[in-house]
Amino acid sequence: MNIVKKIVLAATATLAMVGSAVAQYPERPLTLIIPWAAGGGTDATGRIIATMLEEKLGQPITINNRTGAGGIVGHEEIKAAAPDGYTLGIITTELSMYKPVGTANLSYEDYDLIGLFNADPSAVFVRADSPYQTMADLAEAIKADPAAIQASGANFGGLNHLSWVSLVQLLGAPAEKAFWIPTDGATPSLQLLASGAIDVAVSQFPEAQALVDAGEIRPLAYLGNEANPKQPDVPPLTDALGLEFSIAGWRGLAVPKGTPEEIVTQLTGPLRRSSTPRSSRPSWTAATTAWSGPVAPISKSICAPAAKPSTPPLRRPASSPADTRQAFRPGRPLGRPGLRLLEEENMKSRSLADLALGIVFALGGAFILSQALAIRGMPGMPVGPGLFPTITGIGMMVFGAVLAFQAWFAPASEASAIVPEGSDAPQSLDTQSSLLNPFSLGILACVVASIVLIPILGFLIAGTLVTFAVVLLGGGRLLTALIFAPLATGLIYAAFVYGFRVPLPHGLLG
Amino acid sequence: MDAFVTALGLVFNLETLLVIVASAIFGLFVGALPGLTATMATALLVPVTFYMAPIPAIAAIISCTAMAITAGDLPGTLLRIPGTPASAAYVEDSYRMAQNGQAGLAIGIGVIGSVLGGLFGFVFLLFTAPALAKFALGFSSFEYFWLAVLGLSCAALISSGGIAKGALSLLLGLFIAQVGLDPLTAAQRFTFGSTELAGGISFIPAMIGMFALAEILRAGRSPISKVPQVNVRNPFKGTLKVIWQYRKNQARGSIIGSLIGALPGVGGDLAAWVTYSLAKRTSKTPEKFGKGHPEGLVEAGATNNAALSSSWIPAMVFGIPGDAVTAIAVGVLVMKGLDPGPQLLTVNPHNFYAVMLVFVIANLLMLPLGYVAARSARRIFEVPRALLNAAILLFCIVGSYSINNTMFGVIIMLVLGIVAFILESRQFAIAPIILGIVLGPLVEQNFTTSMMITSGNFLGFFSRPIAGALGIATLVIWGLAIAATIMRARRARAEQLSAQTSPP
Repeated sequence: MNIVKKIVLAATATLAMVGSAVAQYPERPLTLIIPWAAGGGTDATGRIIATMLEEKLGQPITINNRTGAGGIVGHEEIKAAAPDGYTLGIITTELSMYKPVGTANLSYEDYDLIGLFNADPSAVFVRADSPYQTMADLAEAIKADPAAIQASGANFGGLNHLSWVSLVQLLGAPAEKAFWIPTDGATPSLQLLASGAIDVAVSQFPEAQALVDAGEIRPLAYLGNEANPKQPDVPPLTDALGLEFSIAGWRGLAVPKGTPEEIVTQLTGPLRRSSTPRSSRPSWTAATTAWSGPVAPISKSICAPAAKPSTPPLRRPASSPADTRQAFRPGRPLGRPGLRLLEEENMKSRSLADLALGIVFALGGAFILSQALAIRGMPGMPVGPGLFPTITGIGMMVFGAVLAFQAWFAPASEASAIVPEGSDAPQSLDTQSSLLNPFSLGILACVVASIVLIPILGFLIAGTLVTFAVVLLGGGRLLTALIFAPLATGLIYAAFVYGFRVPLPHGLLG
Repeated sequence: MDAFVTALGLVFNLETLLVIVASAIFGLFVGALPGLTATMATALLVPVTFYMAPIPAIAAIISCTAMAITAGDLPGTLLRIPGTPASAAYVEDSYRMAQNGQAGLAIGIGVIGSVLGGLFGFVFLLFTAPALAKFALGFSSFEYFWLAVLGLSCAALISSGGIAKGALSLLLGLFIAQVGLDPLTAAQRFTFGSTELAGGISFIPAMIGMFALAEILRAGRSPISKVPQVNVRNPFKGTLKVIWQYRKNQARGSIIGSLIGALPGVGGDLAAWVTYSLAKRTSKTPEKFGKGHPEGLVEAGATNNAALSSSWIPAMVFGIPGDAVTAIAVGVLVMKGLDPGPQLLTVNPHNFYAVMLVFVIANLLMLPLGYVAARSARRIFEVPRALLNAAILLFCIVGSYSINNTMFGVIIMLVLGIVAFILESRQFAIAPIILGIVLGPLVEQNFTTSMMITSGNFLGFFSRPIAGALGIATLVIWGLAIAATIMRARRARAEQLSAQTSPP
């Protein structure tokens, strides 16, 4: 974090000088798209960059966390944005992997690159009581039989997986035999290592620091060419094995392809200069120098070993969305007493609604099953991504059938036993359980209207209209609605736009 | 010790304290409104916490929930409409007490009993969680898989609508969690070629839809015309004397509440029902129960908040929440990069201590705020429902939008709100859906990882001792539940048959 701050400070200082030369460029607020969730490492560093650029550019920068699909959604969004210099984006290591893995048609060539602000190589860890005392011990074992060593460190096709496969390959062992246990991130992998379930973990150092400090695990080597000044005791791979190796996770700043050259230069110059003080940061230089021709050399070195091992493209034919769950209507209205908790007995009532729901679930389960069976897995994995959906689909079919069966055969005589404990039941609020009444339909219509109208009219106008309608629906008076609707909309708008920096659509007012 | 000092700094700063007070007031208001639940209060709060630092975000959830659950006693006492499923256990007693002119006492017992129970649960949490976490450091994917499955099984089996409905709710949640890219291999699942769906169904709009939108649809239409007929006097007058009189119930309620709350997948709602009936069975005057007797009120009230505190144990130590509220909290922790699990307690103990401090503050805040709420209960009930509906709906829309800044979130909220409404009107429980969404990825990843380690041999899931024990426990629970259902169905059938053959 400190490093980033220093660099950005340097960057912004230079930017200030350059900025005075090129006068007009940021004449309105900018947006910075971050493809990862708020609170993560990319988000944290991205926000620091934004804050500091903001000060020097003299225009506010709105952060937009477009998360999802392992960063694809956000990366796509940056690519698709207008190349006018008003949409910036943070791009990350994963960008180099989408194409070889086959998840998205994205590469660094889709962007104009501005600067790299962070790059970390991974390290190899073993359990404290592991037989491998040095990297050389482990290397011998890998050469003997790579399939015997269970390694982990986040997902298939991720940075750490590629580092591991490259290491196996560099040692002259068959890379396709490298045994990788996929997890959701470095932390669960390190937990697996600490609990003794696997042999090796590949992770970046900060994630592993705590377990190293606690004496649970030991670092063997850095998967880089130079020692990290913060970890002088951990040898880089060049020292440990005499191998050249440089794969690093990186984060950078980019703009959509086709952004005017003077704007790119305006942003690129300062960021590139900022990363030059290499004497103070040796472990960085590999990545930073590589950047000057920008990301290409790094991403190529990352992609090269990835192209072969075990990652064929995974595509499924697109089909139209279908929501089977909506294909039914609610059954007859029934009260929902608050004292429902311990009353399983009452549920046996023969009910057409339950019968219908059971059938819908069973059909939905069959649909899920048919889709799940079409999901193809990775070669060499005993369980694929289709297994859990398959189990879910079968489960839904079974329990849906059970529900329908129960509804059909349950004794009809108990149908009236809905009221809890005694006839004098507490007042229940839920006198209406059907959606088919003007109020519920009205509320739903309002939500649909807001989905359609907010992007067109903007939040302030559409929100006011919808709020106005909801107040009237609930039996409020016209005058109240007229005063309340703009007031509430304005307050919520102010809170989210100025308080939380959510870019609500401007629409007509834009 | 250093960690504790760091934790003090994390909690005692203006931002965090302001957040605690503000969310407590918010929780109090929502909880006190008849028909609006603690879960809804929490669901509405999450989009706001999205933009806070981790500790204030969790502090907001904790203080809002604690306050909303306690405030749920107000409409129960004054209008006989329980604010939460838990306070429904003793609503008869508190309502009758209010009718007998003891409204202040009934509310006072609720508030002070909750504070004491909550503090007890806090002490329990403080000592149990770190010990459990040390133990849990040795857990691998095998143990986590079984723990998560056990939690999900309990949630599905004890839910209100019977096994089939509980299981279907759970499966629906698991299915929702599968939409998008498989986290381990990045294979597309149920995305139908849509980039938005490839991003997965985010749990925040899902939760807002299922708890907030569904509740507006259900409760927004029938405003409470009833205004309480009784005046609330000083709620703390003479309360301590009554609690001292039933100190045994207070202690027992706290202990049982802490224990039940700590079970993964079970959560706090059940606990109050258990202790209320226990109090009735062991009372010298069981005939007075349900007629305005404070004994059950003391015990169940204490249970409520003790369970609320201790339900954070499985959530924080294993990342396996017990109920909808802690499921939401686990989601927030993950979003904030504070992945729950033993490492949260051993590696970053300052975060754990900070959360503990928030518990104490939130429970103590209940005293002054509970007093104010009791005195102003009438005004709270008079807030026009039409305006509330509009404000909540607008908040739902903005909250769902702001997670990814797209209208897709609002569409998810709408669809799942309708689904939840329909399912709930047929007595499907909603909590297992949320648990399925939050725990689904955990179950699946640990399953896949374990299968990789054992090279596809399922028997390997029983090869580590703790994993084996958890696995057998899970299978036994399912076996018992299914056997019990079949037995009951048979008996009912037999009775029906005998009733037909020999008419009364």
